Amino acid sequence: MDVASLEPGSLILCESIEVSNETCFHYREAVDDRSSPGGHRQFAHPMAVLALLIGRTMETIGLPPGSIHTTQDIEFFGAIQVDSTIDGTGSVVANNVRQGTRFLILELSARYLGTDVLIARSTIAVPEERSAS
Amino acid sequence: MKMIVFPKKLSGISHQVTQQTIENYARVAGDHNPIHIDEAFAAKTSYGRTIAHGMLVMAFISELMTEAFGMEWVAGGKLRAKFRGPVFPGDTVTTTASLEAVNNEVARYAFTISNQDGDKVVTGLASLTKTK
Repeated sequence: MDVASLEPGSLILCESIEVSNETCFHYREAVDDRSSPGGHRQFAHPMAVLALLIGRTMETIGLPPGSIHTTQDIEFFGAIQVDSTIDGTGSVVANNVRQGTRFLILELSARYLGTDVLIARSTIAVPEERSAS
Repeated sequence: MKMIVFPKKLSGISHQVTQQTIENYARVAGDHNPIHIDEAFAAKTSYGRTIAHGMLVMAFISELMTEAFGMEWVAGGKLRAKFRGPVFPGDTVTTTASLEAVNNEVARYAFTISNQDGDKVVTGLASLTKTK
């Protein structure tokens, strides 16, 4: 995708995403998560779900190398059972250039069993000289 | 209805972030941006070397909140984070949080993730509802 041409409101991602036990396990390993939420390992960590959503969205956009995350908001409304499937969406909220850097603001959400369980907003700084290539 | 006790401070947890940590995160998150995993590419950026994913570092505050509040956090938390500086391979970062306010049944913690030199690399607010 041409990042510069992404209009606010554009839907980037709309797909079912598997939240497997294996993915959740590897996520906890990768971030060295030593917390124990009361033994509730049957639920996915919401940050793992957000990581999957962001990864899929960035892959779909094809963000240029050197892009970096500048802010992140996330709100979760319910637990997601591991080995289940969520409906993930990602859309563009804003896309503008300030001082030679493009700022892309994305809204991401996950629905599980027909209910919104996660809403997030990510700001990504994209090197402008590469974003139009 | 379950009442939650909100400690004034959440004790800090520390993690050393290595290049292997970053590569493991890239694999599981599907984020293979070369600024994180390609040393030759990263050397040409303003950072001069690879940096950790912001989401990898942000996971540490969620870990702290999960440890303190368990499922209450996992099923109903809210985070607002600003990435203020890079985390390089070899850095050790420490996450701390202190209770800022409890208003309308919502507790708000101000959190900081700092590196070994005391530089704040991520700051923000973490909130959760007092009763479920």
